[in-house]
Amino acid sequence: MDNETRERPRNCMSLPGRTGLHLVLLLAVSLVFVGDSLAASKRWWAAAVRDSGQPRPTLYLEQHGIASMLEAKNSDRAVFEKLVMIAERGDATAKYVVAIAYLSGVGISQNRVSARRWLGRSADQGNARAREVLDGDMPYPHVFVDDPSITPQVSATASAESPQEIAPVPEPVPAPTSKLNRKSDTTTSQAASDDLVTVLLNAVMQPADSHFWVWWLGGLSLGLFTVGFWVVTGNTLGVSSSWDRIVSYREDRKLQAASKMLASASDADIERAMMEATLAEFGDDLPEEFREQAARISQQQTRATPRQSREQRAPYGAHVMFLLCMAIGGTIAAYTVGDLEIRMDMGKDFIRFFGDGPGSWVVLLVGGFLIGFGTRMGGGCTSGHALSGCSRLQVGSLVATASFFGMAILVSLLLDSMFG
Amino acid sequence: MAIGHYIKFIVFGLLMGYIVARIGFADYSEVHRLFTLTDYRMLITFIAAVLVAMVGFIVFAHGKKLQKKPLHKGTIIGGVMFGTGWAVTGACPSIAVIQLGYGYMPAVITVLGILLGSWLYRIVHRRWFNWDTGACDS
Repeated sequence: MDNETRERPRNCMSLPGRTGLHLVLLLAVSLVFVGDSLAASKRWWAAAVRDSGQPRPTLYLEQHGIASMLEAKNSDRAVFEKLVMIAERGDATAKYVVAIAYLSGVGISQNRVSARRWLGRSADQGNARAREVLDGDMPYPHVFVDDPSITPQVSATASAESPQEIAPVPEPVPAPTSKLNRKSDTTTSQAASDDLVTVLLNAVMQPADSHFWVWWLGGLSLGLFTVGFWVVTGNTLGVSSSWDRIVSYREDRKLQAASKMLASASDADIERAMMEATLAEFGDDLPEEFREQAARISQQQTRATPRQSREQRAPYGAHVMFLLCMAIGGTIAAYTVGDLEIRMDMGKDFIRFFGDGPGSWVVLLVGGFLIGFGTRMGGGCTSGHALSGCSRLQVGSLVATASFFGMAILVSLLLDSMFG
Repeated sequence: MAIGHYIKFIVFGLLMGYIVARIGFADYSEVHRLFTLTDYRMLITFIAAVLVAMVGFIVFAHGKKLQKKPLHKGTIIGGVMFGTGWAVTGACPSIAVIQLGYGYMPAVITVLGILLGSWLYRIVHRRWFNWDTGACDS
């Protein structure tokens, strides 16, 4: 009886219902899209560059201006021609990639004679892989046969050899016919001159050369994830609270010890301890009847009924694992799109603003500090406020999201105008 | 019980890292395009995610009591600080770790900054501020 009345409604947590299982299943199904159906020509070129023995293909593509060409949705033909230019300047990697393009019929019609010539030129410069392919009599398609999603567009005879031709690289629409392909090559600021309809259409219609998920797939996964997290763990998603837990290691230990003590102590013990503490604090200020009651309680015999532990908080280590596994999830994602490489910089736009030396590290540290301080001050971050708060129309979350999104837009535009 | 917590957090951590990276949040240039409003893909993605979550919460959380996110004095100032940090580093508390996993090594420094910031905020909060941030276990 006594215990029942003390059972208060849970104020923050809510236990998952069985319906949660359905949701998790749905989430799993949406992730079957893992090997997403959108073949990417960018991935094809990157794979070809990697195959040449280039350890950092993404950087190579960026340095030679090919990455920006692909982002601007240039056709494979244009990329091929650019690579021929680079190759003629004496770049062994480009020679190899041109040869592979000839072999595979990407950006140019298939031509084994030209392929052999370019392979020979690359091998003469000491490219071991080119020599290997030449000596192997150019087995087709030797590069990416194990990954159906990046099987290059091939001629009829070649596709008979490769049974996995599921998703040929879609040839981007030729530039003059499509308004959609118009996007600035060098920087993003120019694209602002595009009218809104074009930009929106660009966003909705996933370009074929994108690494990333089309909007509905991303939205569905992220939304289901947010709800699924709550259903399964009983907490609303919020990553900045995990950071908060991690930095408060000492308090966490204290709290743990306290809750363990509470769990083992009987109700009467706790009541008596509280009464004594109250008396010690306020002493004579308390009314007479309270002190009588206190005296009565302190004489009561201890009942040996241990309290039921209602452990709901995830343990400290789970939060550490959460963040660690997030990093691993990122690695898996990078690996599946063929973009995984260790980089000592933060990408070309970051370099454009802040460089990649120690000065940029200071920027990162200060930025990180602002993120940590700001999210705790605002009571949440993107996941806590924007995802799980806005979706429940929480006033605080709506205001917070508006302020951090707005500020981020302002600062980004400012960065662009300063370093554009 | 504790092991259950671990398994849940491991699975959800992996999922979150994968999803967020595949959307493109780990890519600085992509995030920059989102904030300069030159590419609406991620913005639309995010709005779609919020709408899906909204439907999900309406269906599954009907009549249940979830964590409140009240408006308090720190909301806007905190949001402005966070927004600045996000625009500059391209990271939010989860993205910083995912960037690191994606191969961007300097994100380690962002992570350090986040640790420093949240640690310092605890101290500052206890000393000068007293509002309820809406976090349920503080």
